Amino acid sequence: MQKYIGKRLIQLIPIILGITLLSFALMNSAAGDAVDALYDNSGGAVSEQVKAEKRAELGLDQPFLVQYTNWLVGVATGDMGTSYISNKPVFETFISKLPATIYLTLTSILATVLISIPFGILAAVKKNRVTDYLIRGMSFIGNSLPGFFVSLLLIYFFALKLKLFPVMGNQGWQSICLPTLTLTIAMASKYTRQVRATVLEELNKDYVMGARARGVRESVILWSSVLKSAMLTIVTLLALSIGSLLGGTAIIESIFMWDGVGKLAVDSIMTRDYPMIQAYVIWMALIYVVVNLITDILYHYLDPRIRLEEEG
Amino acid sequence: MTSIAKETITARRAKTHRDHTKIKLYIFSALVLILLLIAAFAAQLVPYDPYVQDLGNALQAPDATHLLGTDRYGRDLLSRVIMGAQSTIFSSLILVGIISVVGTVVGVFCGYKGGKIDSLIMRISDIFLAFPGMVFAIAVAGVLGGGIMNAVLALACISWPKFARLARSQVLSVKNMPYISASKLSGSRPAKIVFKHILPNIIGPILVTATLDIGTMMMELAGLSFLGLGAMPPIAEWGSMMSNGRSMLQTSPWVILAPGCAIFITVMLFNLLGDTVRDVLDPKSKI
Repeated sequence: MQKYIGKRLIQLIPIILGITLLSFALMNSAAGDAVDALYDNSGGAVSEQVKAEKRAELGLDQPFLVQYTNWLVGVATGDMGTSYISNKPVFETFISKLPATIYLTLTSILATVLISIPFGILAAVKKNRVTDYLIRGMSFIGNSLPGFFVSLLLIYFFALKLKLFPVMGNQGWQSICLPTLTLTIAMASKYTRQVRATVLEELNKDYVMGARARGVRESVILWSSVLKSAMLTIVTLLALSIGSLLGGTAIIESIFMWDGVGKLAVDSIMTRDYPMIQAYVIWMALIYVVVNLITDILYHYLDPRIRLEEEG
Repeated sequence: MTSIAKETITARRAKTHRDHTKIKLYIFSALVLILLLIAAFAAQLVPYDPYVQDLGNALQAPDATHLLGTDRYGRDLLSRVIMGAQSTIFSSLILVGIISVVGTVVGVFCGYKGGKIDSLIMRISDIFLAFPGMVFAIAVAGVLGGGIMNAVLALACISWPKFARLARSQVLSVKNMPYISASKLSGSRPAKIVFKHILPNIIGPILVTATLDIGTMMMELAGLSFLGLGAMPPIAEWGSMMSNGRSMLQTSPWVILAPGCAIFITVMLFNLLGDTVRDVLDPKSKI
C-alpha cells in the first residue's frame, strides 16, 4: 500500500512541471504584465524608465525560459517567491487563503450529501409518482439556474430584505450560509438526478429480484444492498466535486467577497502576478493527484474486485 | 436481460410513452425555434432603442411604458433583454458547435488510431477535466482580453475534452464490431470506414450531449461576462447586464431580475429539449 501511494505521488512531479510551464507560457503571452497592472492601478502616470527599473528588479526583462528556470530553482530550494503586487511571500499568502476555501468546500459537500442522497433514493423508490415528479422538477429548476443569479437572489431576499445573514465577507457562522446554499443548490440538483438514476439501475438488477423472492424486506434490500452498490457512483461524483471546489469557486467567492483561493486566483490573473498564479497551479495539481489517489483507494474498499495495482 | 420483464412495459404502454416523447419533442423544438427567431429578429422586435440613454428616466420600476423597467442609464430593459438574446444565445450555439466538432474529431482520431498519441492526448484531456473550468477560462479570457468572441474561445479551449472523451469511448465500443472488420477486409480506406461506418453509429450520444451542453455553456458564458471578461459594455448581453445591476440590487432589483430570468428560462428550455432529444435517441439512459 505504501509503495503504491509513493508511486502515485511521484506522478506529481511531471504533472507539476508540465502544468506550471503551460501556465507560465500562457501568462507570458498576455498583453501587459504585473508592472503595468501595479502602476495602472495606483493611478498617476509613471514614466517608462521607472517601469523598466521595476521590471529589472522583478526579473521580468529576462527571456521567458530564464524566468521559468529561476522560479523553478527557487521552488526546488523551498522558496516560492514574493508576490509582484503585494510584495508578501507567496507561500504564506496562499496558505492564509486556504482555510476559507476548505471551510466552504466542507459545508457545501456536507449539505449536498445530506440533500441529494435521501431525495435521490426517495425519487427512485417512488418512481413516476408525485414525489418523484416534485423532486425531479426541483432538481431541473436548480440545474437551469446560473450560480451568480442564485447568489444575487439569495442576497436580495435573505440579506437585504429579511436581514438574516450578512451580505458579504466572513464574520462568524452566518456568513457561510448564503455561499454554501448557492453551491448546494447547484450541486444537489445535479446529484439528486444521478443518485436517482443509479439507485433505479441497481433496483432493476437480478439480485434485488432474488432478495425479494426470498422475502427480504424492502428496506433491508434498499439500505444494505442497493445503497452499498450505488455508493461507487456517488463517491466518484463527490470526489470530482471536492476537487473542483477546493480549487475555489471563482464567481461565488467574488460575489460574496469570500476570501478564498478562487478569488485569489482571479485577482492574480487580472494583475499578472506570476508567482501567485504558479502557487495556485501547483495547488490544483496536488488536489488532482491526491483526490484521484483517494478515490482509487476508496474504490478498492467499496468493491474489492477493483485492484489497486492496475490503476497505478 | 431478465430485468426487462420486471419493467412490465407492455407494447401498448411503450407506444404511449413513445408518443408522449414525440409530442414533447415537437413542443420544445417549437419553443426553442421561437426563441431563436426572437434572437434573430431582435433588432426589429425591440420596442425602444436598447442603446439610447435617457438619464431623466433612469431606474424606473416596471410599468406600462417600460414593461421590465429601465436601467441606470434609462435604457429600456425589455429591449435590452431581447437584444441580449441575440448575443447570449448565438454565442452559446457557436461555442457548443466548436467544442462538439473539435472534440469529436480529436476523439475519433484517438480512438481509431490508438497507441502513444492516443494516451498522450487523453492524459492532456484528463488534466483539463480536472482543473476547475471557470478559473482556467478566466485565465485564458484574461490573456485574450475582453470581448464575447474571446470568451467563447476561452471556454472552447477548456471544454473540448469532454466531447473528445465521449467520442473516443464510442469509437472504441464500435471499432471491433464485425461490420467494421468486414469493411476493412473488403479493402475500405480508413476515411471511408470512419465517415461511413463509425460516425453514423456514434453521432447519437454526441448530439444528445451537445444539446444538453447548450444550457451549461450559456451559464458559463454569462458567468464570464458577469465577471467582466465577456461582452463589453454597452453591448446588451445578459451576464454583463446582471453585473451592471449588482450595485443597485437593494434599490432596483428588477435590473438584475430581467436578464436573470431570461437566462433561467432560456437555459431551462434548452435543457428540456436536450432531455427529450436524449429520450428519443438514447432511450436506455435513465439520468
